[in-house]
Amino acid sequence: MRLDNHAYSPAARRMIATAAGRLGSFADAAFALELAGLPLCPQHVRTLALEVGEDLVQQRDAQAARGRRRLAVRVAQTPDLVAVEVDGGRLRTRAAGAGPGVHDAENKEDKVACLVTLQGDAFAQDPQPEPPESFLQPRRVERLVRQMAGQAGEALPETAAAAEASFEEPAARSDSSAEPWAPQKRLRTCVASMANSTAFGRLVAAEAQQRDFYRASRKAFVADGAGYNWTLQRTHFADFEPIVDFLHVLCYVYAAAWAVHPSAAERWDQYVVWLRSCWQGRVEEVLADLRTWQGRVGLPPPKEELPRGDARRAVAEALRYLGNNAARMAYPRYRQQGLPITSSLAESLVGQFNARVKGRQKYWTRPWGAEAMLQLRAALLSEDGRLESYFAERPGSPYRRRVKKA
Amino acid sequence: MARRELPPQLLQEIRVLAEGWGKIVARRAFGDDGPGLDTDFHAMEQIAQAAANGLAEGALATLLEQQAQALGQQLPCPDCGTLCAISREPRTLHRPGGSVTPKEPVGHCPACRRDFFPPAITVAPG
Repeated sequence: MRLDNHAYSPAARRMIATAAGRLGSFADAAFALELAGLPLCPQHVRTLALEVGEDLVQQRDAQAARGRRRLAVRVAQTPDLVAVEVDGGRLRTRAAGAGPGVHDAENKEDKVACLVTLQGDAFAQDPQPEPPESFLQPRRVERLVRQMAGQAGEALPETAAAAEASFEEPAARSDSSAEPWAPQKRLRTCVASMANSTAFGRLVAAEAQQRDFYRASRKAFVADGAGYNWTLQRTHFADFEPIVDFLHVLCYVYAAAWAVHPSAAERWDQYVVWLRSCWQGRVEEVLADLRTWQGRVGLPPPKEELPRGDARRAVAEALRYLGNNAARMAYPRYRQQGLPITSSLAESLVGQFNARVKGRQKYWTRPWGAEAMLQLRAALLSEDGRLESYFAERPGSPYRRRVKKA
Repeated sequence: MARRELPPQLLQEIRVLAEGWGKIVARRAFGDDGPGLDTDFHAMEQIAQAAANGLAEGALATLLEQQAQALGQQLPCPDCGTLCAISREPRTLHRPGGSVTPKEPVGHCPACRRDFFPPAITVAPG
């Protein structure tokens, strides 16, 4: 019958897992389940849902352990245009086995990969040589920069509202009418884990293999400038076009422009000049400007943490970021090939994960609690119906705990 | 592992059949003349919900019993393969809107000293 140890029908198990992964908390899930005629306490919802998550973790790890080249492709047709976008979020954890309550709280990073098939054309020349309007409107840009800083955990408080905002906003960024050349999303699946970058790379590669990404004719790997992203790209996605997320570039040149000029008008003009140069692939010009500015304002003193708005720090950070990533900033060529230049899909996805796993009262048991929930959430957010498949194909158990007779 | 998706056509046929039973339930609940004008939708919905839950429980109990009958008196332990006698024990399974308590076949393997719950033969849909 493919039942397991619990006293719930397969339909009930699916409802419990879906509610726990989809709604904001186990208490919300328990409430929704009660409305659906399945009364359970939140703690029991948690136990049952995380059990599904752990099962998914085991399945995923078993596939990755076989090695990418031994995994079978599970799609009928090789996609033409694909992108792997990688980003990270933060969540709160607590020590396991320390009794009720939060013990030894730690913030930990979760890594999220968005694997997406896209639809879009290649062009004879750069289809959009000038930056879009959305990057040239002061209020929108300011909001974008603040939001990006909030997502990186730098400035904004981690409230449920902030998490929800970060979930909603990225859609507004990718204004398809303003960028008609931009490739459109077809189907997304995702990988999320608390694992280190080496193990995470193997998981992403396994997923890409099963979706036949390696045989696609146009392939992009889009991420921010974090070093491990590019190690992952070189190790597992060497023939994907490496592209540094343009939104992060925007934030760095914005911060530098704001720091070096005293008046708002000068700051904005400087930002527009640098932004346009980056957009048009002339990053060397921006680097030359930044070097000049660094000479004028001076280097940040070693072993001293300067405030974020300090010109020495802002220029040094922009110089380092753009310098390290210059080879991955040939945006006119990427647009010509019809490749994405922002990791907005991954940013949006991280927001969707955060809406479930991040919040003031949410502490996940280290390490398995967060990993199990990330897996359940990933199954729900993947658009290939993998949670349905899991429930349709799970083998069940021929054994069961013996119930003591009264 | 085979998927358990049933053909949509079969499911549609069953649904149409159950609609016919709905007429019987309505007649049983409110008589040949139907509900009075003072009967509100909430009451009708309660009747329909009770009928749906009862129908699900009855169907599941019958199917599980038929499957249990098909197993025979002895089955091999899924671990060591020893032939074990099969007995029956009640097991409550909660489902949305109710529960069902079939008499589940249970084997006890004296070699492994554990119970097992067939069918672990060619996996049946369930």
